Amino acid sequence: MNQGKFEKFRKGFQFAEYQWDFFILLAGGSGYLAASRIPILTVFIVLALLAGISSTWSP
Amino acid sequence: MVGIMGSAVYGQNGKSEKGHWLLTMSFYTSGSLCASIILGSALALAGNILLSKTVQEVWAMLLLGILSLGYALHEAHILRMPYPQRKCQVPARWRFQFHPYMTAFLFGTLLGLGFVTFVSVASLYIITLASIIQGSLLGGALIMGAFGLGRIILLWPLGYRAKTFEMVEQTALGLYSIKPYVHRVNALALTFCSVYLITIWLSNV
Repeated sequence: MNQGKFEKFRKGFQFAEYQWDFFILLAGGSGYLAASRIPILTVFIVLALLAGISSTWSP
Repeated sequence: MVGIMGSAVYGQNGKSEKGHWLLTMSFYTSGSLCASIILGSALALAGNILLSKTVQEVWAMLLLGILSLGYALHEAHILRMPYPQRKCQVPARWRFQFHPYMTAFLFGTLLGLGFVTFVSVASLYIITLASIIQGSLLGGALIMGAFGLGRIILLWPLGYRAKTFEMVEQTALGLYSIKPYVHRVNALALTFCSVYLITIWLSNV
């Protein structure tokens, strides 16, 4: 594997590793919040607000 | 979406007129909020009619939790999920057919409905299903109303700052440069939602 390919592979792996770490952390946090009985409607409203804001990026 | 700031809002000569812009944006906001609130109430009503209480409270939570996880992986480009959308933009001809305020209201209405144009993120599918299963008209109205509010909330500060078409274009380019992060944030939010819903389901079984 030449230097360029290795560098690309290394960066891709680092990104994936970071992403999975974040997912696991988030899963733990959300499980904790669910156990704390945060109202389900609040969760849906926050997700809806995020979906709406994200739609600013639609074509 | 961002182009609306330069078409419906800024009139014929491309120069910003703040009073005109404020009124146009108010009509746009009203259209978006009205459409999304009515849609949310209708979805909740349909859910109440079609689904039994047990399905709404137990099985729908599990299904929504699994779908949230699937769409989280879709947003993270790990898995491909069904992504139905019309891939249409708001009709540009309305700008010439109607008064600018009417055009802004109609544009807001179409965009507030969510599915009539491009679907930008998969979270829209989850909140639509959430409106159906959560069991109250007010809840449905609040969920989809939050979506309608989200659709317009960034346009206010961005549109206020953009005084010419060139600035609108620059703003649009700046926004599109951070688009990959938008999908990543949605992936994280959907993962959160998934684990939350599955935990709730497990505690109810």
